[in-house]
Parts: sequence; structure tokens; C-alpha cells
Amino acid sequence: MELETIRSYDWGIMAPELIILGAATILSLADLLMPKKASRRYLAIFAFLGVACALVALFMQLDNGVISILADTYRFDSFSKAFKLLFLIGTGLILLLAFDDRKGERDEYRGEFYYLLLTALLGAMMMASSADMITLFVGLELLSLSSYIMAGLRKRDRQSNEAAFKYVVNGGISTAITLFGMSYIFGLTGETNLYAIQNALGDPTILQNQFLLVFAFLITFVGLSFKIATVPFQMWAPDVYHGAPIPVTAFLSVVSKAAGFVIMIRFLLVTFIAAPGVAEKPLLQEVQPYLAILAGASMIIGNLIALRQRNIKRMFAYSSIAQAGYILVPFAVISGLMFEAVWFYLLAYLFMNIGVFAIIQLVTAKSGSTDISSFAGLYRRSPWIAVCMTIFVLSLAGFPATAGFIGKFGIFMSALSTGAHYWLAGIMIATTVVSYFYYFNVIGQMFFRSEEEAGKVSIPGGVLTVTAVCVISTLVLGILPHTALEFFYNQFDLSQFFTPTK
Amino acid sequence: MIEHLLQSPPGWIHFLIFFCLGAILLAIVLGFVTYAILAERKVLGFMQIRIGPNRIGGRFGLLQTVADVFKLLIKEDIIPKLADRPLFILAPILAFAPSFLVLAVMPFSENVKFADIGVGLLYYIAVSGISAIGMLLGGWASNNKYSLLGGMRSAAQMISYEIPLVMSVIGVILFTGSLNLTDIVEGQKHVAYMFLSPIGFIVFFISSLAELSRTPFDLPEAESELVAGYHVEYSGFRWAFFMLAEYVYLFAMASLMTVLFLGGWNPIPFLGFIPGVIWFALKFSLIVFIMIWIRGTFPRIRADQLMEFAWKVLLPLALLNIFVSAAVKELFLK
Amino acid sequence: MTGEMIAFFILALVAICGGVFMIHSENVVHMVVSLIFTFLSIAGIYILLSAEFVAVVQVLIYSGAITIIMLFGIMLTKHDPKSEKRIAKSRILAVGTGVVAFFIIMFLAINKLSFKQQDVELYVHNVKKIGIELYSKYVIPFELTSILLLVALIGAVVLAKKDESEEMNEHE
Repeated sequence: MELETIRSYDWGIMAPELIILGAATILSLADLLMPKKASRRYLAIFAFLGVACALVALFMQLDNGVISILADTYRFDSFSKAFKLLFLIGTGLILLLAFDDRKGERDEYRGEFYYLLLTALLGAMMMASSADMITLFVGLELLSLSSYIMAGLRKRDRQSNEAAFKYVVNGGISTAITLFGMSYIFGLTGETNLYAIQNALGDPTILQNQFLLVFAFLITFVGLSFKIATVPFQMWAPDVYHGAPIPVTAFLSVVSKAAGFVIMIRFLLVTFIAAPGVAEKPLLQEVQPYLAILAGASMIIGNLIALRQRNIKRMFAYSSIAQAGYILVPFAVISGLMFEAVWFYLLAYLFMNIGVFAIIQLVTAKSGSTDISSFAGLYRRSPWIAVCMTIFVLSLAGFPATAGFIGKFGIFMSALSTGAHYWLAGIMIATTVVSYFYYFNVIGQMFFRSEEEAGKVSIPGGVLTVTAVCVISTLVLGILPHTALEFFYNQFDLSQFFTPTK
Repeated sequence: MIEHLLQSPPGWIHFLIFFCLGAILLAIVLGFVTYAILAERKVLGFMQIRIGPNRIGGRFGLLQTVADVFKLLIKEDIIPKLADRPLFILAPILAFAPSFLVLAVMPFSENVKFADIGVGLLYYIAVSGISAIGMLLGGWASNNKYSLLGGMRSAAQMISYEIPLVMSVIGVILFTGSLNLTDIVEGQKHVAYMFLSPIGFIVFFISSLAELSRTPFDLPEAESELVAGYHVEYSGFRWAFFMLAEYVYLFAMASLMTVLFLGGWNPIPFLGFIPGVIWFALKFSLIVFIMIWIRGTFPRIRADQLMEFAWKVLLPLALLNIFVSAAVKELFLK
Repeated sequence: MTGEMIAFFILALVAICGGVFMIHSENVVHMVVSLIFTFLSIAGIYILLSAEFVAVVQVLIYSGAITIIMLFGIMLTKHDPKSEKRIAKSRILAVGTGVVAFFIIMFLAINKLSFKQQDVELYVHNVKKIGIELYSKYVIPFELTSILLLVALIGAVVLAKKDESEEMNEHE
């Protein structure tokens, strides 16, 4: 390949990624050159500005069609822009949250945290904007590695150490499994480009290995399920969410999870869309029962164990397992409604979950414990915070007039649209009802318990912004969902996703 | 001839031929080791105004080393009771085998070479790294805290200096565009690479001294200060194996340096009538001599200085060398 | 049976034995030594496949990596093999069944493997081809990998470095 060919690509399309990379580099140098005793808190503002610039750059590129660089190792299409938007908004909010987390200022928010967050974001963005197996995998690893370190940054905290260690061991195992599955896909087709694989899977000689293909699909799926914390790789979530600092927990439960769904959808759907299974049915239809079982198990396990939790962070960790189970439902069912259902739910989940963690951060920092009782009597102490928390929790529970309801409704409809998945929809309803118990327990604590400790929870600027943005978005998405959906319909073109660049 | 052998179908005869060739090389290497040790002692003696070995084998002590080796071989073989027996036995083998394996890719002249593989240089670096495992293993298996400390020390040194060593040859690879050692020699027909990438040569030379654990980097076995190193518990022929590995590496490293930086068998201009093997031997001997010379003149450096020197001086220099070499190639060699 | 087959079987056997010993032994250093044999025989298999560059890189990376693992193994573990916990019989049985089932599935799957026409010229100028691919077509993942390594480096330093306040406490 000549230099001219490489120069001829539209490298400007990588602007959001390059801005994030540049911001991370500058931050790392600034952290190195700053006086040792100086507070690193203001690096968060710079990181936030970087994310904002990247978001602006992304908005300016929205009208572009499919742009592919170097055989799809970087690919800008409707899918990538829809999800990069989610990542950037999520990370921006989390940076604001981190800015106000004064609890661990002494060690966990040293400069490293901010640029590791940015490199993690970069990994996630590359996962969204590539159609090459190698780039996808390297992006996944960049995200994982940065997250492992962020989870363990609070070095003197035993829980944080344990969290990081469990995370890295589980992550290593899941990476090995993913890679094992991917190696079969590569070995059978000899390609790394997803569209080339899709094409090669139509070859009759390769198709004699359907059994192995189904196996490769399931193994890759299981490996990737680590990132989204669903069965069978859900066990790390409670410990890690519990031990890690709250902004990291929020990042893991929102951005990292969304990135997991992104790589699953991109990698598995594009490659296997046309592949036939062992029997006469297409492969994707054949594996549906297995995926449905995993989705169902995640919903059941997440919601049932959450019932027993007294620790608010652990409770929301199990809740997030259950939520990931809900999002797996459209994946297991695979219909035309799938993309909008997943995207919308992830968007709604982003706002409501970050909102929840923002308030958990406020309240637990005040009370000094992460037990659920720190919420007791919150309504009398700080009514506005209690109301916001109620909105987020209701949204997570899926009550009408909140974003969570519309999201769940979309998923529910997609489960019913292709038929024969009534039982999965049934599990979804049943587990949602179960989830009311623990979600309402939080609300009950806030409104009906007498306060154990007096004192108003004061709300600093960064968290206030985050909470306000999240509340407004949760309500707007709940009452006027078409604003987001119309944006999605305008921007998202399914044909761009499945067909290679000409 | 090798070419022909490699092309024809395999059989027992071939096996025998290859085995014999290997045995001949081993004999040459052992001969070198014998006289390198003698030379070292003689040169050191000369520098310290002594005579050096002068009893066994005539005035020059020509059989001194042979006698020493014989003594080692008939010594009692001691394995400490609490040592990890299998690993204790395995360690010297693991340390020695790679040192001989790396010679397989070394081209001594146009005709005298064994395996002409595409990744020769990388092969040398990769395989020689295995020896560090043998040393660490020997230190651990002895079940003695001094040998364990010595093993740790050697492993740290080997790993640290391997990085500038590898980085410093990138300049050479850039000039040649190949990892094949024969190609690298061919590329030096007109000018040896030590003139084109002097920084690379100096970094390589210093790191190779450390890799060979020779003065001033002989901490792994500083017998006068640190109760020797990983091999305190070894005696007799097992100990001889470790020492042998060290001297075979001296042979291999000096050959590699000749090939990479001194132009291998290429003659100095106007002296082309002298055969390539002789040129190779001359350049090779020069390097061995300089290494002995350094041993006679330099003091030993401290452990913390050792690490700082590798990471803070040699590595940046090696990186600079990559940059300079690329510039030289773009500006002058195009 | 050709020489290649014999070599393959020997290498495969050594690799598998290394893996089994690695799991079976209770001493960290023994585990690492078994790993060496596995990695080296895998490098040998690469050579049989004419992938000399990959083989050499395998040796290069793993010989360094193994030494480091061994250092950590020695430093971070107790040298007391008796402190091992006994594992319940039922668990061994369950895991064993899983492994056997996995083996049977995989064996059935790869038993009737069919491939497209293979590219037979790949081994010629192996290194050059890899280099060209890496620095042109795959330059984006390549650069991304460098960021990944940088993150790993920073992370290792951050997690392993002592805080200054900690150091001060120790001096007092």
C-alpha cells in the first residue's frame, strides 16, 4: 500500500477519537509536570472540556455517510455515531461527578484517574467505530485495562484492592474465552474484516463447519458477556461496583456496559447475519434459545439477589445485572425493532443510572456508609434530592412517564413482535414486579423512615448539573420519547450497518 | 552443501551429517572456550604485571585450562539435600543449551554457516533470553538465600539490559531492511555499520557486556563481594556448565557484534585477497580482546547504578539511535 | 508418517504435558517451568507451519515474561506447599465432566473441518509481509495497541508505587 493511498483517506473523520487521545496525552503530561502537592481536581475540568470538544466534533460530522479508513479498521457509520454519542455524554457526566467527589481527593483522584477515564472512553469509541476484528479487540482491551486500573486506584482501601483483583482475574478469563471464539471465526474464514467474514461465511466449503460456527458464536458471546455483566459472567459486578470509587462504578455500569453491547451487536450480528445454522434454520435463529436463557437467567438472578442487599452499591450492582438482562432480550429475539430498542434503553439507562449514582455519592459521602439506611428520612432532610432519587428509581423500575418505561416498553414490544418469545416477555414482567420490592425499599427509606442523623445534604455544582441533566432527560425521554427516537430514525440507517462500503 | 542437504528428502544419513556438523561446531566452540579462558588470564596477568599461567603445557601454560576442566569433571557431584532436585539438575542445562543453539544462525563466512533463516537476528535475541530462566531457576532450586538473591539479581540485570540491546540493533535493521544475518553482512560491503550508527554500536557493546555479566557489570557473580551469585551451591561439572554457557555466550556475542557492526567477513578495502574467515576471526578476536581489556581496567558498579544506567541512559540513547539511523538512511543512503 | 508429523506429535505432546503439569503441580516455580515447555513447544509448532517470525516472537516475549512471572511467583508466594487447600471430590468430578464434554464437542466439531483454498505462498518473505500489513492496513489497531501498552505501563506504576505520605510514615 502506497503512502498516497494512506494519505487519501479522510482522516478528519477520526476527530472525536483524536481529541480524546490528545486530551489524555496533555493530561498525563500536565499531571507529570504539575507541582506534587497541587490539587489535581481541576484536571477534571480539562478532561470534561476534551469530552465536550469531541462531542461537538461528532455533532459536526453527523451528516456524513459511511466513511471507512484502511479496510474498515476505522468505520464511521450510523451505528458508530449513535453509540459514540452515548459514550461521550456518559463520560462527560461522570467527569462532573468525579469533580465533586471530595471523599478520596487524597489518593484516588490523582491525575491518573482522569486520563485513564479518557483512554477507557477511547477504547469504547473505537469499539463503536470499527468493523475489523483486531481493532474491536484492541479497543475492548483498552477499555478493560483502563477500567481494571481505575477500579484499584484507591490503594489503601481493601475493598478497592479486592475489587480490582477480582475484576482483572475475571476479565482475563473472559478475554481468553472471547479470543478463543474469535480465533475459530478467523481460522475458518481467514479474514479479520467483519464484512469479509460475513461474505466468506456464504462459501459452501466453510459452511460445512456449521457446528463449529455455532460453537464459536456461543463462546464469543459468553466471553463478551463479561463486559455487560450478565450470566454467566455476572459475579464480578457486585464486588467491583461495591469496592470501586463511585464515579468508576458509574462508568462501569453505564459506559463500559454500553460498549459491551456495542461490540456484541457489531461483531456478532454483522458476521453471522447470513450464516446458516446446523439445522435448516439460520444460525442467528438457532442460537436464540440459548441467548434467551442467558437473558432470562440474568433478569432472574439480578432481581432476586438484589432483594437481599442492604448495601446500596451492591443493590444497584445486582439491579444493573438485571437491567443488562432486559437489554439482552431484544438481542435474543432479533427483530427489526432491536436497534432502536437497545439504543433507547441504553440512553435511558445512562441518564437514570448516572443520576442514581450521583445521588448515592452525595448521600453516602455525607453519612460515611454505603448502607441503605443512610437514605433514611432523606425527604425531610433534603426534599429535592429525595424527589430526584425517586424519579430515577421509578425510571429504573419502569414506571410510566419516565424514560425507563418507554425503554422497557420498546424491549417488550420487540420480544412480542417476532412471536414464540412469550415466555421471555413473561419473565421480564415477573422480574420487573419483583424489582419493585427493592426499588420501593429505597423510596420507603427516604420518605417514611425517621432520620437517624440530622443534617441537610448540600449539593455541589458538578453533581447538581449532573442530577439536573439526568432528571430532565429522564422525564423528557419518558414523556416525549419521540424527540430521541426521531433523532435516531433520522440518523440511523440499518443498511449502513449490514453492508460493506463500496 | 547445506543447501543441497536441505533440499533432498530426509533420512538417517542426513541426520548423521547434521549431527556431525553440530559436533564439529561444538568442538570448535569448546576449543575457543579453552583458549579464551587462558587468553583472559594471560592478558589480565600482563595488565597487572604478572606472568599468568605458566606451568602446565609449556612456558605459556597451554594446557592449564584443560587441567582445570579435568579437575571440575572428576570432582564430586554435590546436590544439596534440601534442593529441588529435578530443577537443580535442569537449570544448568537450560542455561547452557540456548547458548549453543544461538550459534546455529551465525554466518562465519560466505560458506561457513548453518541455518540461514529470515529472522536470524531476532532468533538470537529470543533464544538467548531463555538462559536467564536457567539462572533464576538454578538460584531458586538451590534452596539457599544467597543463591536466590543472586538469581534475582541476574534475572533483573538480564531483563533490563536486553531492552537497550534489542533497541540498539534496530538501526542496523533499518539500514539493511532485513533480519537475516547474512543480508546484514552483505549490506556492509562498503561501510561497516559501526560507522553509520556509532551510538547503536556503543549501546550494543555496553549492553552486551551486561548480558554476558562481565566487568563492570559482573554483579551476578561478584565472587569477592557478594558471595558469588546464583551458582553458589553448584560444584563440579554442573558448575562447569554455567561457566561454559557464559564463555559460549562470549563467543556468540562477539560473533554477533562482528556480524552486526564490524562487517562480518567483509575485508578492509584493498586487502580482499585474505579469505573471509580470517577477517571474521580477526575482528572477532579484537572484540574479545577489548572485553578482556575492560575487565582488567574497570571497577565494578553498584546494583542501583546498574539499573539506573540501563533505564535512564542506555534506553534513551538507543531510542535516539533509532531516530538518527532513520534520518541517516533517508538523507544519505537513498 | 512424515518427519513433520512426528515433530508435530512430539511438540504437541510436550505442550499438553506442560499444561497438565502446570495445573497439577502445587509449587509456583514448577508451574512456571511447565509453562516454559508449553510455550516453547508452541513456538516449535509455529515453525512447523513456516511462521518463523511468530515463532521467534513467541520465544522472545514469553522467555522474558516467564522470567518475570517466576520472579513474582517467588516473591509473592509462601514457600510452603502444605498450605494448599484440598478441593472437594464433587467439584473435581464436575469440572472433569465439563472438560470431557468440551473435548468431545470440540473433537466432533474439528473432526470434519473443511477449508477454503489456502494461500501457500505466505511463508515467503514472511517478516516483510507482516511488516507491510502491520504498518499499512492495520496501522490503526497498531497505534491503538501502543496506547494500550502505555495505559498498562502507567497503571502498573500507579498501582505499585508507594505514596509519598506512606513513605513518610515509614521513616518516622
